[in-house]
Amino acid sequence: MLSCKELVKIMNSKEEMSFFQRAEMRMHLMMCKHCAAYSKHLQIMRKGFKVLFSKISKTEPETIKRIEDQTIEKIKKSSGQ
Amino acid sequence: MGAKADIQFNSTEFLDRVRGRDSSAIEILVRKYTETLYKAALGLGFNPVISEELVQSVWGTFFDVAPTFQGRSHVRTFIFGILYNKASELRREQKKLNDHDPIDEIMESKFKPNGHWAKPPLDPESFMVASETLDLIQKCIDALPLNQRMAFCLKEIDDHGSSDICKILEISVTNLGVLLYRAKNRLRECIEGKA
Repeated sequence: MLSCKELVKIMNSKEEMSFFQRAEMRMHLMMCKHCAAYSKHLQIMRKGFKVLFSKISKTEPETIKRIEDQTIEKIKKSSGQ
Repeated sequence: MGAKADIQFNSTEFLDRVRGRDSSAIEILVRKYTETLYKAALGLGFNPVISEELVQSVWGTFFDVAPTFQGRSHVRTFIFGILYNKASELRREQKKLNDHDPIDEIMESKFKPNGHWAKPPLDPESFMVASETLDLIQKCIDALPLNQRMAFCLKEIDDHGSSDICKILEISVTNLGVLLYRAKNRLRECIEGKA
């Protein structure tokens, strides 16, 4: 059986878990409220950061177009076009 | 950005046009990836002005070194790799993984020798309330080293596959696991600490 410490270590890389490890993890989370809380934290965090990033990365289409246009012009110029 | 739409970008025919600096190929590529590059730069914490300079610099370098690009990875992966290199230079941060990170000791201290929690996590409701303060999570993500922040963003926000992220950051799968472990635990610790 996985200890809480071991579980926390592997919980961060779910895709690399074997089928057996995943089953062990699910059982452990059902029985251990602390690890369940930790797992919930990771979920909550992921959502929170997604919200933050959509706020940070909000851009105007005109800004993007301007950057694209300037880049294209520069590249074409430096290629002698 | 579906996988199907990206396939033509890695075709030999298209890459040859790019290397030959074909006018329309340049346009297609720049218009395809500029927005995602720009948002990635913003997401790494660079302001709009710097982000714009970074993006232009990435494209400049990309077209310079395009002749050496062999198409073994996807062109988008290659472009993001250039962004990461330039971001690291700008921040003057080393790209290689440290042996130690403060979070390693913190995580050790949370458990008893028998592997049980010594300092259990906060109840999820209180944690959720704290995580709803955008200023707080902004501060927490800003406190991450660039390589951890990049790994976290690529994985959690952009949903890149592990193999792509490894190519972008030029690290092994094992090291990526370490980076993500450190990033997530640092972030969690930071939020919990202020809750």
